[in-house]
Amino acid sequence: MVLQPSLKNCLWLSCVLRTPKAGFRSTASGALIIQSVSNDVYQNLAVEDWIHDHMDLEKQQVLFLWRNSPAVVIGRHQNPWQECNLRLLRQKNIKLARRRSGGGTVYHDLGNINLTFFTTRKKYERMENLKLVLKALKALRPQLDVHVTDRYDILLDRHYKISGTAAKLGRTSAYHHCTLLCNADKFVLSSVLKSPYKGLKSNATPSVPASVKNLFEEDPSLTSEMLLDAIAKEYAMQHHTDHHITLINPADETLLPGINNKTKELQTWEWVYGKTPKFSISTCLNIVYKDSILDVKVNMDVKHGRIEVCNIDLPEQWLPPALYNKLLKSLTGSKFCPNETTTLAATLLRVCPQDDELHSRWNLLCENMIMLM
Amino acid sequence: MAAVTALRSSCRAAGRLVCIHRVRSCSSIRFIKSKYVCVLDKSALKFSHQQRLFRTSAVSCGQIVQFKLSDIGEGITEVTVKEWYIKEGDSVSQFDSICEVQSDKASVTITSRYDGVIRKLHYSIDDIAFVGKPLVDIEIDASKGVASEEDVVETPPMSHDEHTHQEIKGHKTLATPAVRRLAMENNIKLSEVVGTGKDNRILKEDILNYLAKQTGAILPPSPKAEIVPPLPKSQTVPAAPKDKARKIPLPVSRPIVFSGKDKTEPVTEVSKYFPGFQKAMVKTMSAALKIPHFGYCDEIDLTQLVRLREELKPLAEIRGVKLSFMPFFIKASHNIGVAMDTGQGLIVPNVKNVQVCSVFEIASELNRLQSLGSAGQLGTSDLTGGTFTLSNIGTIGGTYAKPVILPPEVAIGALGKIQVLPRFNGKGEVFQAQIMNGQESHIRFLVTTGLDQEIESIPKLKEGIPITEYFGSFLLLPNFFSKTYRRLKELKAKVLSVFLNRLLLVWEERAALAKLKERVINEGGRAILRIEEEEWKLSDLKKLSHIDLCMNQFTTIPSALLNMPHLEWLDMGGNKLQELPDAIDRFVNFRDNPLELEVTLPVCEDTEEEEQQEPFGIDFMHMYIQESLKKTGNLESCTPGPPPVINPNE
Repeated sequence: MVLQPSLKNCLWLSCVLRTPKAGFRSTASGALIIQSVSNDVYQNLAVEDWIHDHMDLEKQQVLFLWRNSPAVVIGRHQNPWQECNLRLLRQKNIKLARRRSGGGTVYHDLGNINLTFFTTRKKYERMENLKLVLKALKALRPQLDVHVTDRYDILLDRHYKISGTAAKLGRTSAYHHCTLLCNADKFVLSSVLKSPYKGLKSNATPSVPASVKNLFEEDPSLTSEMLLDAIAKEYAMQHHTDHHITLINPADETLLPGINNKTKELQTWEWVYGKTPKFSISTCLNIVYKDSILDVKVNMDVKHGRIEVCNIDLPEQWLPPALYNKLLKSLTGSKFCPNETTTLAATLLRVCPQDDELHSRWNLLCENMIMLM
Repeated sequence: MAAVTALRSSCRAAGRLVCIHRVRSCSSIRFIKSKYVCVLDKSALKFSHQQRLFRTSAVSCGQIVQFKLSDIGEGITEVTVKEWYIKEGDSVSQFDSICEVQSDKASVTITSRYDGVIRKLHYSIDDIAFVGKPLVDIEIDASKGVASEEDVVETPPMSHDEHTHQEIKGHKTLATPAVRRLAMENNIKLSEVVGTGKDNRILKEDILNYLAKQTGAILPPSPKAEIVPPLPKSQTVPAAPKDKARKIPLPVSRPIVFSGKDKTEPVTEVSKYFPGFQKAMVKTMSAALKIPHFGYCDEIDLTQLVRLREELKPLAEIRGVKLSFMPFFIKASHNIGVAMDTGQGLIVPNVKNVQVCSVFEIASELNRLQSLGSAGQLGTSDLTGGTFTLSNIGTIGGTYAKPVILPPEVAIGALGKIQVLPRFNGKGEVFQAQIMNGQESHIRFLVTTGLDQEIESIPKLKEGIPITEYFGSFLLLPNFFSKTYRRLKELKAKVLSVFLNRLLLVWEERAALAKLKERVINEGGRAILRIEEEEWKLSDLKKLSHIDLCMNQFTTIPSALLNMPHLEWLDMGGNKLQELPDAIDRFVNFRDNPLELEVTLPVCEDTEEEEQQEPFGIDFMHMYIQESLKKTGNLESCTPGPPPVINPNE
């Protein structure tokens, strides 16, 4: 049962959320259930950060429920080029976000619900949380065959993954969040989570692919709202609190002071791409030029999302050496990003002689390079 | 000779200014101080060691504690180290984040339990770390509980032998030696001055403001004066179009204001201004400015066009197209580029083959390019192949504009703001006209050829004036382009100084320049760049295509600077260092022990701009300084010689 926040609840909530260290003393209910009204992945991740940084979880724990419009979320130490098809993401206007917790890459859309369990560091217990989810599912549909693996995944029918887990531990507080596939678009999911980029070598956390299934496919009468409600009910029961979901707006600066800065930070290029651990690319471009195929070996080292070292093995004199050197020099230190490379290529071309053949070779090379990004 | 005068001035200075820092008394401090002194006291410099300014950190003999990796929970015994937030030599406070480790889908932030200095990291990135085993070694402060900030002391002007200390308890007053000298000369206590710089640093302005308040006097403005570039001569409409004489209009620019604020900027932020794209733009711009620019300006009465657009707007909306004024101006020939400002800077995608498109088609193509541009998804085909570029200054409020050609195009048009102005018509009556300033010849061209088809209903606009009447008609006929281009190239050598003005103008529009400009101050006719940085990273500096020198205080002298033969190195006494002590490189870890040096750039030599030399970095600064020193507005090219003396009252 979801209640709109009445004035009393609003005040109560703002009391709770705005006195971080003081905690909540009066009628210590022990737990709080909140749900985000926004579908923006960055705003919702920022709420997680905010609660992690500012709330005192000693007196009460928090369950945060959220859903996102289509987005791919990678783990803290992952490599987006390795994990997903960035070209497809850009085409389909699917957002890319990097969360602060570890783990692998997931695809979110409105058919997927996210649950975050906030506790103190000491009370951090992932298995307990997942068992709670199982209990809620079983209470809703007793015939569902669901269980938790030791990798903290929830499997349906012993085979299909319907939930993945990740966690973040700070000094005093911790959170564990997981997904739950209700009715997500599996087709888009599988296509965006397949990386087309070859020759990547890195120590970033790899994702473990798994076959997935929606709960909706198992039982078409299930909806996301029903599942959210069931989980909230179970949580409320276990923590001896009323089953009452408070809605919060992640853009509300008065309720969550500093939240907009957190949202902005999660969207910066430096966070999403720049936090990628160092990796190298060693691949071969097959450039089709005038009825022949050129094999061009490319080796690049990318650190903090920027090209540190760049080697392109072109046939001698295919491009004038001065121009070729300028290209390499300009690429070094620039972002490993198609937009930046496109503008760089176009700008460098302006100072070249007006030679059609040169221009076409240049454009061909640059387009192929951009395909790597 | 210079050395003697330097010596004399230094002795004077030594007599007046003695600043030392007092830290927790520990014998090792004295040792370190005198070590610095030995290193710096070269034969030319005979200072007493009190002259030196040091901010020493808590390099005290504290105990080293091994901080072990604490229990993660859930029975986890090992984790992978993923990111270090600190490095050896950094000081940390309790609860500062030290590193990020990962274990089985959980990312953990490890925070420090102690205040101190990191002495050793036991693991590198991607190593496996064990719970219960040492993670880092921290040297704990010898005296806990006391704030680890240093106390700053000043001695009274008289003696430099006694060390009478004026303690400002628990309060760090930061100020450069020049500022301290100024305060000392005026008998001001630094503790009474409010600092407005970073970390409440006291700046020269603060001292001057304080003095002004005290004495109520009007002080002369600081030597970092406002320097106004040559006043524009041709702001008004030029002579009749039939005048064949070539005029070279001067740029209309805002006065350059040196804020003179001491600012420190992390090097990484600066290098952001010049990543690959910007480097490429530099090449474009320098090539662009080698093309002699002929500018032609006029007012155009657009009343009819405004009316036309109002009529066509609803039609356009039906077609789902947003109709600005641009599509009308674009409708001439070939591939017209439109300058757009994006997060990356200025890009110029072009609308292809406009001669065969209708106004609506052009408008919808513009919409498409604009949305792609803001999403950062423009392709190479969109960005290349332009023949003519239109830049719309009107949208950002300017009325006149002097654009720079984007090679390999031959011409660029800048369109100003449309505004209603009173004008006289043919009969001498005043009427209200919608006036816009722009490249008239181009506009007339479009009127005579392109727009006719679209505006049957407005006969007045059909009265175009034949192309050939226009001086500047070379802009219009395609086959004229190459001939004119070649001719104009020959004029290159004669108008070098104009390019410098252009360079100024172009780069004034760039935000990055604003940062550079602030660093240059004119003091007594010398252009001085001050170097200051709390923490230099050599690797970042090497990436810079130029050197952004901030104020004072850095711990290593970047080899990039060391390798510049043009730089003269002066210390704070104004004495030229014959050679840099190579031992300074050893200061790598002592980031709180800065060395303050002033750098003087020598006067620009009249060298031909060569392709190899980047027009940025020191060369750019030379040119820039030279230009800013010229206040008379004449167009003579850069002459070598002593820089003119700057009147501090200007």
